[in-house]
Amino acid sequence: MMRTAIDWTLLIVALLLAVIGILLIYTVSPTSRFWTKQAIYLGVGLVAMFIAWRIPMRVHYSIGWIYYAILIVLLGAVLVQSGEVKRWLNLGFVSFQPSEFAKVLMVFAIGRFLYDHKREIETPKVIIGAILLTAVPFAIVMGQPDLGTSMVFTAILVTMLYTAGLQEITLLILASPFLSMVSAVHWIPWAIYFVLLILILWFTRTRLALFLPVIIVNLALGVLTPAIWRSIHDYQKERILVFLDPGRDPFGAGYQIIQSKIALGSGQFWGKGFMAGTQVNLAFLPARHTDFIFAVLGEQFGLIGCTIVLALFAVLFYRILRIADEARNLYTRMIAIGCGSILFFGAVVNIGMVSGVMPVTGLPLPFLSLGGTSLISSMFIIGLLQNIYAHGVEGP
Amino acid sequence: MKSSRFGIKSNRYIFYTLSVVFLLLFGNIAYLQAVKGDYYYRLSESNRIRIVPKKAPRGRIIDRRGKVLVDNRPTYTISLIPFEFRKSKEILARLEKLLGITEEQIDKAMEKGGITRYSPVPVARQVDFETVSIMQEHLLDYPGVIYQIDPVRVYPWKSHAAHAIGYVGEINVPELRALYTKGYKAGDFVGKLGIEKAYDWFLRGRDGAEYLEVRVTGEVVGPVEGRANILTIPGADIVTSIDLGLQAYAETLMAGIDRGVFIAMDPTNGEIYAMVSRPSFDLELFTRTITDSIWRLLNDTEIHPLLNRCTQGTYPPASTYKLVTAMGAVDEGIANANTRLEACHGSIFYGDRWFRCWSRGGHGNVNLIEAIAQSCDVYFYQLALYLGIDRWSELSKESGFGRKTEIDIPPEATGFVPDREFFNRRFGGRSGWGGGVQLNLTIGQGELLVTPIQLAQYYCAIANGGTIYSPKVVKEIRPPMDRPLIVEPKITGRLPASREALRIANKGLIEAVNGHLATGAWAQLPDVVVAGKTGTAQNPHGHDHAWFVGYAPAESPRVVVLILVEQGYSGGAWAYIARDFLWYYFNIYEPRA
Repeated sequence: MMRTAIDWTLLIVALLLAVIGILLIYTVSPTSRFWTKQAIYLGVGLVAMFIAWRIPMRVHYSIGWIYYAILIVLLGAVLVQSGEVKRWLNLGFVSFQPSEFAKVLMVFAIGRFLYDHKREIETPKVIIGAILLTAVPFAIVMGQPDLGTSMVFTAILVTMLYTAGLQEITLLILASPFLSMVSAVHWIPWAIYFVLLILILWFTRTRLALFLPVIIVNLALGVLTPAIWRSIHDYQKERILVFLDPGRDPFGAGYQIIQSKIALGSGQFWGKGFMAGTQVNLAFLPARHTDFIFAVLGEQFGLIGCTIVLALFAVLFYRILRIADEARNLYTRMIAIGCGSILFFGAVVNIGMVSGVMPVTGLPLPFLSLGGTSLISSMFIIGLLQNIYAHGVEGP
Repeated sequence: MKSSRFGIKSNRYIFYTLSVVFLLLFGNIAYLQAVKGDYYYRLSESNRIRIVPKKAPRGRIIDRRGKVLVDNRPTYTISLIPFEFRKSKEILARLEKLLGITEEQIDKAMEKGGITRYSPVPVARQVDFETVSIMQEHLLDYPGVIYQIDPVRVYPWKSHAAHAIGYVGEINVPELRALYTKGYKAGDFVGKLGIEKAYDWFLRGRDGAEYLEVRVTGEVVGPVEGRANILTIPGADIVTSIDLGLQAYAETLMAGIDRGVFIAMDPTNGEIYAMVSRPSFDLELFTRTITDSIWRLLNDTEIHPLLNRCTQGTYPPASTYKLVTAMGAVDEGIANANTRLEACHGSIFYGDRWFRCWSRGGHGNVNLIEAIAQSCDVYFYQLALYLGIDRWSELSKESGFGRKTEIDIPPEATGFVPDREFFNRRFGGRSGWGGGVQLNLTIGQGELLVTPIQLAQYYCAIANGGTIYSPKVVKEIRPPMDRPLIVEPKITGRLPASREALRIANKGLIEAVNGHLATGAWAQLPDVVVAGKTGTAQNPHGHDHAWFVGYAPAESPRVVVLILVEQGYSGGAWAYIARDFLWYYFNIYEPRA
């Protein structure tokens, strides 16, 4: 029996966010066709949502590997295209950003893999398998170079593994080499990190065969990272830093960040008012329709406007978590969480970038940024979540 | 629906994590808008931020003893800031009067430059100090016009080692496309040739920037709060293996030669002491605007002065190549130092025709050493028939021919070593060609092509006992505020020759300069034993090309010299250049290690 329940909150919040997005795009350039375009995208997005709503989840499960193949082909196709920033795929009649769809396809592929091995999640075979599965698309988008999307892939992998039942301690061990490298910026944070790691491993009674290698790898990385960092040249350091944070480049992304912070901050508490944003209208802010749409919001509607949008996002994520919590089985729960991480990560990284605390990665703000691919795939995700909700715990 | 608590543990933890991240994000936005809102409001209302780029001075290029080959001098560049610059009749008139630039030029520059509307677009370069001081006095008359100090290349030695050093120019579209991801941008100057090009990444340093808060009038308020200036990192100095003294002397020796090549190298590590490619050009040309007539001359397809003939020119190596067959024959057991073959009477009949020796009268009955020394073609024709084409092309390729030497200043030509497959393809099958082709190849003629640097590399390997070093012109990279980076010698192979074969080759080369009837007698020096080989390559387009390549002292070589004179008739005649250079090298200017 199919439940016809609809998560009205989820639906309404998503639509509200999309409409706010169209409104903001309108304020940026009322005379251009951008906002009408975005409205059409929303229409297409709604169709995509209903399709996702109606397709039974087992169909996605059964063709999970086909999705993976499509994902690789899509990403590979972008890579072989010429051009400096390889993010678009032009099929002649339509061009789109495959990396947006790639995120959803990735969720299905990992979902299939983890569900097939749900009883042996903690085994090295499954963990390494999942990492390898992610590594291929990760490497391709990294080569585009698109740091943002590759980070989303990582987020998908981690949250889905966790949902599949991976222990927190295993996650910690997996993340520990990375944490060791990051904390090694100075010896004090590293020492604290290292002692904590040993204590955690000790009190969770990690067996010695795992304990020792983990400690050795962490120790080695903690010692080697600063040594390597010191031995490379300043310009090499700078290249790594610019790669991690393009905001350091004073003529490119660095300028965007300053302007974005000015636009956002100058909105103050109440905002400058509808259509009254000087920064936006004077074209101070680059990429204001797309990646920096949140700064447009901040300038015109101030902290009040930002708070409302953040609250809408908070409700959205809360609902996604609830849907995951009530999902009928592990597969749909993982899909819900995976899709949730796409939206969550996109929102946090984008808003963080606009407010200057995260690197400029070119991730759009889900639902709000101008861009068909992003909006359509976000609405598709809403459809999937509705589908999972309808077949929740009370379903068959 | 149950209570708001999550039933599943992982969801509960995810919920906590999300909440914390969201609160932090919100906190930061609240800080920007509520606390710092005033500051940003002020910036947004009445002030603008200007980024003033600080050009990094390009690294210098220094010779092996520390003499500066390429330096910088400061010049002024006048730029417009598109956002602040308002085109009006008055300002256009002022600019035209002051700098002599027209509205058209300004429009063109604006179209080309400017990644953002705030990055300066250069409209006049190398403006003198007086002009700049006039502008400085009337700054308010020039809103949106700024000047910056821009270092420009100076070449104290004009055309010396021009091809090895290379020149810089404004980045063009294909280069920008290739280098865009490395942070190169429109308007940048990049190396176009030689060291300037190959080591551009080290030489260019990193441009810095100053962030200034500016009023609408162009008046500077001060630095921007919370935004540190970007440090300018000057480019690294490049220490070349070139020795200015030797280079200068080589330039003098080659001055009378229209087209040709001179290379002097250290056989023990592949470092190049001097490199001349004639015709050459004055590097200073590229620091000014190049007129059309000069540009046409530089790109002349006939004389091609920008071509580095040392690495990009390909020629038949002629008799200098006989050592490949000689050493191959020794190692295959075909001949030893004393082997005498059929006597030379000036030619030999093979297949369906006569193959001539260069000496019409013939060399008589010679052994291998004498055959090398007197360059007897007939002797080598016979060796070739014993050796066979397959072994010959194998030896050639293993000796470094037909492939790039991987010299550190690309581009370079690969040359060409023909083999059986090539002739099969060309003549359509096995029956279409006879052994005659290999007779020609053995004496370095026919389809065989080498670059001068390949040949120099080969003689370095003979001189040092068989190690093939990749030639290089850079010894060291010296970044500012950092340890120098030594460019280590690179070994790319070993000669396919035994110690005995090398000994015979050395003996033959000594005899070829010092022996009875020596072809390279003009290279003899009184105190130092010079070893070397001449070559005279048939040239279908004119007179023969002349080669001499050799090394000294023969017992433990410290320097290899190669001379190629296009249409120079006979290699023996030009050996004196090697002698003069070596005399200078050993008596006046022996380079320190």
